[in-house]
Amino acid sequence: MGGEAVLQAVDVSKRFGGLTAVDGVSLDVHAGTLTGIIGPNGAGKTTLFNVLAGFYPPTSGRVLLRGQDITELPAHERSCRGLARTFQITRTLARLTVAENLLLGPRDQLGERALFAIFARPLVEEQEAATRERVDETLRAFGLDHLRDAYAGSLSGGQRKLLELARALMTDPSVVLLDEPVAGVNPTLARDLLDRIDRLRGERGITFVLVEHDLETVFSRCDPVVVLAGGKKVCEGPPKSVQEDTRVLEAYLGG
Amino acid sequence: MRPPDAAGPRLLAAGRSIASGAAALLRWPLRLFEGREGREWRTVVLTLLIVFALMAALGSVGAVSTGVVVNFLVGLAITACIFSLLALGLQVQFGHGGILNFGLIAFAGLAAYVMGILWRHAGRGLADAIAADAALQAAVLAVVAAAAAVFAAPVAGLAVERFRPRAPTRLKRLAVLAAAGAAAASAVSLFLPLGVTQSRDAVILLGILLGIGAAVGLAFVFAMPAIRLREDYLAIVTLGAAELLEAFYRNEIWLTGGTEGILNLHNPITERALSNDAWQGFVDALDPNLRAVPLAQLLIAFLLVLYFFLLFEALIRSPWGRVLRAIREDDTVASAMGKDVNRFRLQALVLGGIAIAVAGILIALRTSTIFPGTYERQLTFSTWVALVVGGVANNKGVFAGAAIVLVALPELARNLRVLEEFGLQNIVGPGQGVAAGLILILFMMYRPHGLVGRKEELLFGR
Repeated sequence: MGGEAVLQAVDVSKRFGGLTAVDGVSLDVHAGTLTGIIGPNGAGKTTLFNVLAGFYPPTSGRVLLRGQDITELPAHERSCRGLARTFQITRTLARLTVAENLLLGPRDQLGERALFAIFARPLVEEQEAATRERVDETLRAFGLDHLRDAYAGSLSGGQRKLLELARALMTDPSVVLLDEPVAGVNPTLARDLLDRIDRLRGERGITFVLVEHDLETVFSRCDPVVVLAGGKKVCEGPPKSVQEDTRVLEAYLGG
Repeated sequence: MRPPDAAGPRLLAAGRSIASGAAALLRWPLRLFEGREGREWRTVVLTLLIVFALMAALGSVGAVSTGVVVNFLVGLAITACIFSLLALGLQVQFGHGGILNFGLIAFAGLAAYVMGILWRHAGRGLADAIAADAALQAAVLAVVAAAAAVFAAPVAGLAVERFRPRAPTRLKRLAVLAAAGAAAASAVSLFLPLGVTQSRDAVILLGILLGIGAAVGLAFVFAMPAIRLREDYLAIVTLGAAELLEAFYRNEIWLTGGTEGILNLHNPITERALSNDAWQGFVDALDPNLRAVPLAQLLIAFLLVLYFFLLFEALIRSPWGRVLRAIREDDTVASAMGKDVNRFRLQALVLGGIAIAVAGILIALRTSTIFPGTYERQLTFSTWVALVVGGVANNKGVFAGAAIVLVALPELARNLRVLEEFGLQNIVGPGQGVAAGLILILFMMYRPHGLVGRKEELLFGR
């Protein structure tokens, strides 16, 4: 376990009409960890993610970021407070270039205010130049610099996964929620992505939470591992103990 | 001491630099047509030339004098400017913002009607009151000055940035303030002394400001469903809202005059064009066939469309425009990236709505009348066709699209009356609609990205 809990879910439930997708889940994500969430299909992993990131309001329960209650905050404000996410099915902004996708990241961009965009162009240009430099740096780090001005829609599946991670990092997050970051990615690139995540934890102290179907990935990389089934938390702990927990096997085999 | 014969080489050098400057100035128009942007401009200019050449040919058939043809073309140019402005507003809302506004005509109609209703019910009395009361005059002049300053500030800001990009910021702020102040002063001087005529002008100006304000309010109303509804539902809601307003104009006869409309609107453009000797002289010097009023309308419509074009270009190319396009692509991602989607959508609706409102007011001031039939869904759909034909998400496209769909097409359809002589009356009426539909189908089949839209952007649609 790492430091204090940076992201907490307290007794979170989410019901869609008669269906209870997440049922009283509490979760503490500790600083600097790579927390893995696993569970069979329909276990409520992605719904929990959406509640954490602010895309669904929870039916009950609270979400805390660094001790502050963010349950009522909309998604964009959570992002501004350092909670970033990627999507299960990659969502590139297709008709924006790769660089433009990343340029969206930094918060407090003057040029994003209409009045500044007209009246304070020198200031905007100055900030924009610095942002562009950062984008170029990030693109180089992710090996996407040759695609800088390509439309994001023209990228391959693996490149899109990279782009999503790079884009999320441009918001200067302290916690990143990764929804199946290596699903459908070839093993080499998957390893590359996971190594990157490890490096980011070490170098920038970013905390990651990931949902993943590939159990091998989760058990070899994540600590702790959280198991969800039927919307409830089944167990939680270091990968070793979770692997040996009979309740996990039951959940997966539909016991 | 400089030897006197040094003047020769210095003169020569000066001559050379003047010559190279002149050459650069001459090359400048050609440089406009280089590169991708240049090619797009070329397409737009060519389209306009073709449309207006065609229209000139059409107008010349059976014309009694060149004067008739010239004035016919001036009239079409006014139409082109106004409808380009209409399409430009939609371009911001849909082309860049992705907001399916099928009630765009409501912005135009509401603004025109607010102005018209003010004039119809309070205009003359209010004007007389202003002419008689010094305190009211001061208030009116303050409003005029403030409006002119707000209007001029963006132009000044953009112009300074364009021509003095390296000047220190304080100087730029001063320049903006100075330009805004100068615009305010000259606007105020236009209204002095506040006799009855000037007071009436002022009432219409107040009506215009109120009309634009009403359009902004409508943008807020449209933004409410835009926040909650998926795009296709929003299209229905906006269409319904526009229909509702149109029914209101038609049926609340006590307020709007119903189908008979609002007639005899006081018209500052007409008044000024006819009473200003300098303008009359200028128009006569240009071509004795030209008439002062339409040319004044053309000048004003052209300047306004240019104003909004430059403003929107600057905005769309800024980080603000980038966020707007990101929201158009995927609002979920945009909010995950920390962008307040609702705020940007609202701003796009307001900015586009203002352009559409100004177009609606220009339509009313053109004939000094306001009829409900002018602000009907037909114009909404034609504007949409113009947008698609010109090219979505490229501001330049609206000029080409409006020229083809909203200028050339109605004129050609009007000329279908010739067919009546051959007993084909039934074709004449629906002809325009059929032609617009046909053009849309042909564009969808052979040039779905429009005249200047970007083909590769179509490939990566959602």
